[in-house]
Amino acid sequence: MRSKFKWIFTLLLALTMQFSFAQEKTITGVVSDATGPLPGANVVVKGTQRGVSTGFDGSYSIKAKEGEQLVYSFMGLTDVVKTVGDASVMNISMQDDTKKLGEVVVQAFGIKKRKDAVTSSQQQVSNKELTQASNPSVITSLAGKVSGVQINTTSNGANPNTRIVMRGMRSISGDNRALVVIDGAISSAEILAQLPPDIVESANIIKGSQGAALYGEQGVNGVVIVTTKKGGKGDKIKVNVNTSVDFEDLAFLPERQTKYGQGWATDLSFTGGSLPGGNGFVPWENGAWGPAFNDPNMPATVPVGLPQADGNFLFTKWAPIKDNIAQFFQLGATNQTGVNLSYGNSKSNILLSYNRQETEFVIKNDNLIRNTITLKADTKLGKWNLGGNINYIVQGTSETDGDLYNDLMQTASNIPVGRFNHGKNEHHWTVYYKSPYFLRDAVRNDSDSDVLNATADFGYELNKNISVSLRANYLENYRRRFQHNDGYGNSFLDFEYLLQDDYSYGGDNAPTYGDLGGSTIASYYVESVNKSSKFYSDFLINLNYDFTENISFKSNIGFNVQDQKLLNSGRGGANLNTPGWYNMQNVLNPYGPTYSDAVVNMRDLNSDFRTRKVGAFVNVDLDYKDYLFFNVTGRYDKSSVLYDTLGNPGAKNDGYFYPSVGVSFIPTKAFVNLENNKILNYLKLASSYVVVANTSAISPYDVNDIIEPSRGYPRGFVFPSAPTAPNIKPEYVTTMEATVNSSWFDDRITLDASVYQQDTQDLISRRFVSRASGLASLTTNVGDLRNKGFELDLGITPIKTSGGFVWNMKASYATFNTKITKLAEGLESAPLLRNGFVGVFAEVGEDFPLIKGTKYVRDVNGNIIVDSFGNPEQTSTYEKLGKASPDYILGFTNSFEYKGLKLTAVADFRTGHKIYTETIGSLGFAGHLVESAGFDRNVGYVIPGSVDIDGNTNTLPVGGGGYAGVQDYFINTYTGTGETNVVDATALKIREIALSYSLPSKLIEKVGIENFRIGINARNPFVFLGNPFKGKMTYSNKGYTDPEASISDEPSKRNFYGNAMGLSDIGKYPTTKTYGFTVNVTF
Amino acid sequence: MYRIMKKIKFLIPVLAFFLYSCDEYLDINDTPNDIGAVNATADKLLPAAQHESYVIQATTMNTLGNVFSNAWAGNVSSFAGPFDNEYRLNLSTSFYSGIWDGLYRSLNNFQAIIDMDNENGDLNNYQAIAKITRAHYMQYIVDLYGDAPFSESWKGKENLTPAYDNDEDIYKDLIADLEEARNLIDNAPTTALNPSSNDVMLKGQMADWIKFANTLELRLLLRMSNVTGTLATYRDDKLAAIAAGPFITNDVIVNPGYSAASNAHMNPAVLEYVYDAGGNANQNSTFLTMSGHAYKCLQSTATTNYNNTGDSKEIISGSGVFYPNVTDPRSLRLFAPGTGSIRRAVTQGATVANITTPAANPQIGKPCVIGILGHFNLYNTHGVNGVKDYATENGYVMTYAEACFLQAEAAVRWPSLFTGAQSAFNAGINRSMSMRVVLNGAPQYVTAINNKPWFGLTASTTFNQKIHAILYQKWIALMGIHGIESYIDYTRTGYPLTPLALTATQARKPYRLMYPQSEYSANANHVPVMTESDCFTKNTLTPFWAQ
Repeated sequence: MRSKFKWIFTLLLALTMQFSFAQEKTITGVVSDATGPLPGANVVVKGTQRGVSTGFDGSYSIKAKEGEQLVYSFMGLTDVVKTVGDASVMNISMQDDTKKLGEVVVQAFGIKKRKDAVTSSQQQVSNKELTQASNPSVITSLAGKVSGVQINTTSNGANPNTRIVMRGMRSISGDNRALVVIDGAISSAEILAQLPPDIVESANIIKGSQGAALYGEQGVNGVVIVTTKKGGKGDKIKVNVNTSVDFEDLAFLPERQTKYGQGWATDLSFTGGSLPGGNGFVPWENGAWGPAFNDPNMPATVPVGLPQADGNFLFTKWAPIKDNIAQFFQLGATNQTGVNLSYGNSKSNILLSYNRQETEFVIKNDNLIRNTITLKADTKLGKWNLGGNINYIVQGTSETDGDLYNDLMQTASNIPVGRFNHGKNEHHWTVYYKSPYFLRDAVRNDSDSDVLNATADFGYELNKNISVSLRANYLENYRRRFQHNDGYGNSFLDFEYLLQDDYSYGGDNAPTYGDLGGSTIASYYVESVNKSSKFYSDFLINLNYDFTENISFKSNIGFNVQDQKLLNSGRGGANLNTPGWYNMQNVLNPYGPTYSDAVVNMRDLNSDFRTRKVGAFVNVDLDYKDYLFFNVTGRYDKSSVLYDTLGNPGAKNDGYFYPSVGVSFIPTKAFVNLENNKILNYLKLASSYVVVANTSAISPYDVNDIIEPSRGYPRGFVFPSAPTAPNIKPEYVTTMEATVNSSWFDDRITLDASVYQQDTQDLISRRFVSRASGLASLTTNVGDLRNKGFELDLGITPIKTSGGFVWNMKASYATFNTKITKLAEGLESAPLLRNGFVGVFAEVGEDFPLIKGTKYVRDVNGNIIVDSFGNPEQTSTYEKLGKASPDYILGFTNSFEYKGLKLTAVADFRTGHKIYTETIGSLGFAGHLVESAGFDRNVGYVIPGSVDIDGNTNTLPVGGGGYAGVQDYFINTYTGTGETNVVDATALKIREIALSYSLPSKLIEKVGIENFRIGINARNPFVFLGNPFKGKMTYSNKGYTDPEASISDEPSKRNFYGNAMGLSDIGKYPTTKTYGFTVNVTF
Repeated sequence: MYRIMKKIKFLIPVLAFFLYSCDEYLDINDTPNDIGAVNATADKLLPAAQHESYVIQATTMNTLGNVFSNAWAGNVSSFAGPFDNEYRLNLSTSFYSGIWDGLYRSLNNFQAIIDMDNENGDLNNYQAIAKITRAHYMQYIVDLYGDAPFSESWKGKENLTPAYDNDEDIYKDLIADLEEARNLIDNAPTTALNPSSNDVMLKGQMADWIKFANTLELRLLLRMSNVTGTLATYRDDKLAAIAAGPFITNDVIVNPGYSAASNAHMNPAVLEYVYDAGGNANQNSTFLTMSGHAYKCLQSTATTNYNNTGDSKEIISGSGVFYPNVTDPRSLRLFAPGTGSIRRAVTQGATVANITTPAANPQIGKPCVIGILGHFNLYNTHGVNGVKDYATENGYVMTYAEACFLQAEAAVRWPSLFTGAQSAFNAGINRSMSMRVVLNGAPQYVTAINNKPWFGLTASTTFNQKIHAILYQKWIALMGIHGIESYIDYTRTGYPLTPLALTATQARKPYRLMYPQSEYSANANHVPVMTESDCFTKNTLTPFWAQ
């Protein structure tokens, strides 16, 4: 409104004044911007009130004297100042504001800031980059694109779990995951993963703490600020239709040995047919501890699996089948369709969007269907700015139990997996494990969720210096979960086989399923609803003053309230009376209110939580001559989690305050001789200091002093074994950061770097304590850590021709190192998670997270010492095995553009870290490991480079030699030693390759189409485990696990928010790759 | 700047209001999911404490005891490498650490009752029960680990790293606790609360608690049978004081109302070893089998193949003690055939079910699994209706049979104080027979075994023979019910004679367990440093009564 008044006013003045300067000549011309002639632009003679406005075709005519300056202005574009010379025609091309001010980026609380004024490291990712490979998830599409940000898919599936961690870890057991803010309101990664990338305008990744300081404790791990698309402009309705189809396939499976077939070396009981007998071959073994495939005594075909429904064995060749496990998987598919309708004029915008995603995973019946509707609108009404948006997301998923992967690992290479797709355990290929086909159908975890996310914004301009804004957001996620397991009952224990063809097992030719070692599974079902709701509101007073011509001042004073509720309600029970009817009425053993086991925890399923947080904050920006910027923030926070009136007098909450200060300086703008420099176009130096507190490791009610109902017994109470110290304090994180941004050779090269150090004091962790205290652990402040890091981003445009060919390269290097500097007295090492031989620890002076485990006992020269049986001894203590976070991460992006054609590739490389994988134990136990077959098992296996107790070179095979010795060694010693289960986590992943072509606008304009783009793309097409630059010898990870996988796939307080990285359990689906194509039309 | 300051002055009252009202707004952190610790009254804590501590005894301790005393083996016909560490005697800081971790954890709740204010004597009975039950379990900590925290234990947040007490001092404290408990009961005012049904062990029968306390004290003092010097004097004084008893005349059980309503409601031993609430057999029901040693003990030599190789029938080579060659009628109850009717057993460490009747092929088939009637439905107090009958069964904290053998041993060791060794011995066997629901042959067995030196008391003439006979019968009586007690008898006396597994890598069974990993990682300043080999020799780390 103001600019319009200004224009009328100046026009009026100009019209009344112009005759008094009769000597002036008439200047004419056309004002245009990137899109063409610009109607309504103002042309004013500087220092006067004379002015005109351009006409419909962008033309103007104004009288001015030579030497006078004409100022061309248009909202949103940079003013152009031209001195009137000889020429009487002055055609002007205007550019976006952003060119002048640098890009404007959205900061905390929606505060917009010029990049110049940003004092800590951040990186914006545009819609184009997010959607280039049609990735259905905004989160995973960030992988490889932002330096210092680690995006991990901790478990794959129809609805994968992901984790965003910026610049390593700052907390042992608190949340290290980045905050997600969507359209100004604090949200969650879970919601972001459900948001169609199509409607995301940009994601600003705020890595530097200062950028996040205004969010207080929630911003301590960095922030992903997501801004969704606004309605279009230009007073017309625009329709964008986007559709893509992707096919999904396994990226890799673990390598298994293919020299020895099904059997168990010490079980000689299976005889009959043309088998030599007594050689360990057993057709229903999970093990591959049978005879060698090249054993001349073995017949060409052998029975495989348990006898089938017709009473007969299946027969198969006594030979390995390549990747037989892959037969279990199908080709998955994802369809995404999005339709956006947008409209906008100079005052108002509106966007209506509908998106649908359908995914069928590589495991049959594992699927996801998601529908998202978004309505977003804003308008200006006088001094009011009103806006709002609503997302409504309906999602349904069905997944089976990830544990079936373990059952699938128990497959010798001679087994024709696909022939057992009947899914009957009593006719499965092994009696000792369940059929994965059976599990796929019998064990289902279904989930339906309705997400409503509604935001309203109000802004009011009190005057030109002061405005206020209010934002309110309500986010509700209503989820219904449904788990069931059809079970496998006792009746099958009596299932009797009649072994034909004189086959017998230990002389018995009519064993039962139970006789052979088959076991049962109890059926159960659990249903639960969770309703999580969050009310978020902030109120800001925005001040904007120019103190002098050179100093401008901006400030925001704000208040922020959050109220979060989680209501859980669930029921269920074991043993269904009528199979397949999943209803409480059908449950024979309902779970009581305190029941808990590996699948269900009824107390958790029936618990309510509420937290509230309030904060007051101030942000001050000072700008000196557009080249020197100061930013100061302060925030005072109070959180309900520290309140206690439930008998814990120690707990108190005084709130906590934390400040930040940052400065940025642009030498290329400050020094005249650096301006318009062809070599160094742009240089920015920035530095910041931030203190933030963090209470995320303290959950609601943690500080309450309570008694719990006795678990496993419906009566009586016990004191909790893992309480929280009543006097617990928040963690304090102090960050210092320095960044450099530079641009060289006409922006052909950009180089950005930042270095930082973060010190966390009073780390909160679950401290394991002596059980003799009566407790198992106490959550308390245990120590300090220091996290140091460095990031380098290099952008090069090697080729940019006038013909339109552009080649852009981006490379990034990020390294960080988290070291525990102090732990509480008497505490050297704090385990996060551990099993009998390996675990993840926080240890003084060591990298965090640290993988430790048992090792073989070695002599001073590093040789493994073996005992008189040729077996190595294990250390009784946990030794260092490696760290779980990489030494460094490299990211690469390459894009080639020529006219409408664009090819993009994104890759990242992480190395220097290790991971424990449970797959090795599962494979090793059953004789499938490649390592267990690189020699003649009948002769035996001598540990390479081993020595006996006297230090002499050992020649004694394990277990004294022979097949049984080999088997015993791999089953008990090899798989039960920490070091053999830990592999190099190095991986090079080609994350995305995308090729797209936009039809030339000339061609499609006529049919009313503005843009037509087709694309083909691949995600994760190539995954190299191990370091491809160092040769195949380093491939210790033979497809056992994706190094991103983590045991803690459902982050919660109980598993330290997934901080126990470096442990990958076997209950995970394999990593997948996708190929697909996209069509995008705008009209 | 001043202008701005003036303008934002209006914020000050807003800020003040904000800070004032937010305290009330934020004070919502009282959990709706639990009750406050102020509600922790003795009647709420006692039943859970009694049940939870028993779970450790009935599962972890029981398994270890039965494997270490060579009663149970793993089913090698269906499982690879069972009990590998137990057989090899690979001790580590994680080896059965659940005993330490679980017992200390559950005993915490007894401490809370003991610490309650009891000025007017209302809680005399509760506190007496807490002290007695805690003594029962705490004894096993000392017996398995030697020095341990006690005087500084269970102080929760107040002391996260309790110091270690000398093991003999703990024993003395436990005896003092038992004396104090008897005092509390004897001097309980009429207003003292009776726990009645909240005492899920002895239902508030305080006279029975006194008997249990006496029997526990006898067990503590018997453990000290080999001590000398002032400790021996102390022991003898205490023995004299309790020699007259009374000792328990019935089993000390725990049953808070076990049922098959869900796994959580079940008798913990049944859930651990046999069924879930739905009657689905669990893995242990086929995994745990009869050991070859148990087979040889319970069967006559005529019906045992001795591995078809003419093995010596000597229990331990060189011991001069041969298997008794008497068929024990309990054998059929304790172990049931895995398949068909052929009884097979597995010598610990063998890779096949190698012990069976001479006529059967030893290489094949499933070995005997643990008999559910003999192990879990003692006295056959229910009809045989599957899981429901077993799930509701009592838990046996201390059986009357155990008490009989304690008294028999006391009578052999200290005839001046205790008498009636033979009758106590016979009573123990008879009680065990009726517990195991033996229908026929009990009297014949008692007669036959009593004629076997080393195995029956009548024919045993030497001190060692008598002690062995008593502890051997105690082993069979407690087999599967309370296995750890027999293993501790073995560490104390070397009896009953127990062969090592074929794969054992040590010359003998350990005198103790290693302190658990939890102590090394969380109480490193106090926990004594030790190595695995310290467990296998007598040294200062050995429980004091075995040093």
